[in-house]
Amino acid sequence: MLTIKNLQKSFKNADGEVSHIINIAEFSIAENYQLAVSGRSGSGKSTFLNLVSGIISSDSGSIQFNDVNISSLSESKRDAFRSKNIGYIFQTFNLLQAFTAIENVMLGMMFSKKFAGNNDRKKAEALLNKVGLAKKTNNKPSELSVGEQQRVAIARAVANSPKLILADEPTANLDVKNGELAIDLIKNICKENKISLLLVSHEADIINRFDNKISFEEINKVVN
Amino acid sequence: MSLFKIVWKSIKQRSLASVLTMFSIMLGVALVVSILILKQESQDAFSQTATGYEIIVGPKGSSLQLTLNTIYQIGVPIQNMPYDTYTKLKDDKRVKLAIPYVLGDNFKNHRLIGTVPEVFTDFSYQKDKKYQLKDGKFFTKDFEAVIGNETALKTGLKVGDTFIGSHGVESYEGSEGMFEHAEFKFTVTGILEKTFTPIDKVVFTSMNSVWEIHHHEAEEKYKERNDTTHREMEKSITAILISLKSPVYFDLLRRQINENKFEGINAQAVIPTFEIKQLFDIIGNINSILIIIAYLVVFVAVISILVSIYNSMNERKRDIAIMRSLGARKNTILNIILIEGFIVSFIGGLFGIIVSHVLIFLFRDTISNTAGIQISGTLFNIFEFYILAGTVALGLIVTLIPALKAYNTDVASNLAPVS
Repeated sequence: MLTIKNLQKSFKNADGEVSHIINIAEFSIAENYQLAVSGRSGSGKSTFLNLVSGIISSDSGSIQFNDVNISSLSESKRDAFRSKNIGYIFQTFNLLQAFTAIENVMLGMMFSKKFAGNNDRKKAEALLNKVGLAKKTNNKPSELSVGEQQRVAIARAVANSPKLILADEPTANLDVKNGELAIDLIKNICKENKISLLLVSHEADIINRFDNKISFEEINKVVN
Repeated sequence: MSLFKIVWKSIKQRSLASVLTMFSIMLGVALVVSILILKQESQDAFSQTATGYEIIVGPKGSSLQLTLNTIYQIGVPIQNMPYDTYTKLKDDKRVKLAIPYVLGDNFKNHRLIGTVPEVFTDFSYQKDKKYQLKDGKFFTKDFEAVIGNETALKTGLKVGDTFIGSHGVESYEGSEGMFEHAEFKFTVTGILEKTFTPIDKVVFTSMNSVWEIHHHEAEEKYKERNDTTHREMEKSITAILISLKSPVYFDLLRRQINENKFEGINAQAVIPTFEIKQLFDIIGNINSILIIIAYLVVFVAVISILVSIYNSMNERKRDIAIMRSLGARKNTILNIILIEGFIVSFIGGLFGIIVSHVLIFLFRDTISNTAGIQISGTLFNIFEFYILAGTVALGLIVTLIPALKAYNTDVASNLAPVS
């Protein structure tokens, strides 16, 4: 489903020096596959996910998502592609504070235009019910615990029925118990909905909960 | 979920700043609209005030002074004319109606106008509008008076009450009682319905009443000088309002009088509507300055949208980045900010228009009493739509600056955890 070849990304720092962050010769994920990528902080894992999601563009190489080469799309088309095919779970949940739990879930649907009208609300309610927040659909993020906020973020990530979910350190802000619960929830929800999962984390305990795991250094061969 | 809902959430999230911005726009627009409504309605009212007759005849001098003095009861009369000016014009075959005005006295700053009873029966002060009695009856004898609606309100005079007039068309501070004609008491026989014209502030009586007071006053002065020569009562008039039988006589009669070709008449004939137009040309310049100031207020208010939204951009970068990560296009973000600018300027502008009408409506009596013209505040003009559209357009233009900033928000760096 996702095939990456010769992907490169570098940034210029304030002094004008070029830092090579990403250099991936080959990487792929099949449909309904769940993969955990381990790596130390600052190794470029988030940049890698941003490239896969199309939030940033690569310097060279290709990111083939089924029959679409994401790296060749314009920014606007990458946005449109992401809204329909990719769900994103962040370390800091990134919920909109002015919106209720259900509105946060519905936001993603709105931008993808996959669902419309009452269906949005019904599906969002079902998803929040699924993550155990049926009674807190109208609570704002500030009225939810951190664990509950991450569950809203999980529901939002699957709201568009994406083919791939990217999870960037999804447990870094949670305690151990809530972290384990969140990972199990993400894994189960992806499995049930036949969504591939690409999770990155620096926490060994989290990585070990996956059958398929790989070190980021193994796939990213950066030479600075 | 729609873009409008996202925008509304954003406005609500920053409700104080949003409300203050809308409030400043509302004030600016209310100021512009109020000035324009008052200008429009007062211009209409002033023009209508003089439409019941075609010509004013008065002593030679300033035509504007004659108009202001006769129609609006402002300023002092030029001079007086011989009484036969009135009789000659009244008997002219081209004249349908001639109403004489004799000025010279006042009661508590309400001018006494000596005139003929036809002013109530035949004369139209505006097109198809005749004076109506609210109470009592029109005067039939000398030293009876019919008072305007506002005169009754301000002086407290009722039908049957009596009062003493003072010399001069206006009183001034400290002059009370000094120049009173105590020998002559007027009795109020009637109170007029409100006309929303300067006539609401006057007192009508017979010409003879005014003449007699002044004749008596002159005789007293002669007596003081031991001069006992008998003198005839001097009959003079201040102005004549002329209504013609046909518009075809209009120019000819006016020219005859002005070019001294009307035998026995040495006066000027002015067209009130023309004089009013000239007056508005003078006032118009002051009005233009007021309107420019009001537009500047709106401009400054609209700039507050820019300040308000631009200042919020830093705290909104993360929200924008989150929406972008969920698939919102750059154009969608641009539209969200522009819609916010639209809503703030539209609501502010709309309330500005509503508030200006409500204020004018609430204070219509005060304005009417002060200016002597009828202001309703209930009529909406097309210019209000243009002001609203202009405010919204200006709002959108200034919102473009923060909208472009939002458009170019870097997604990846703003999604990163805040350390």
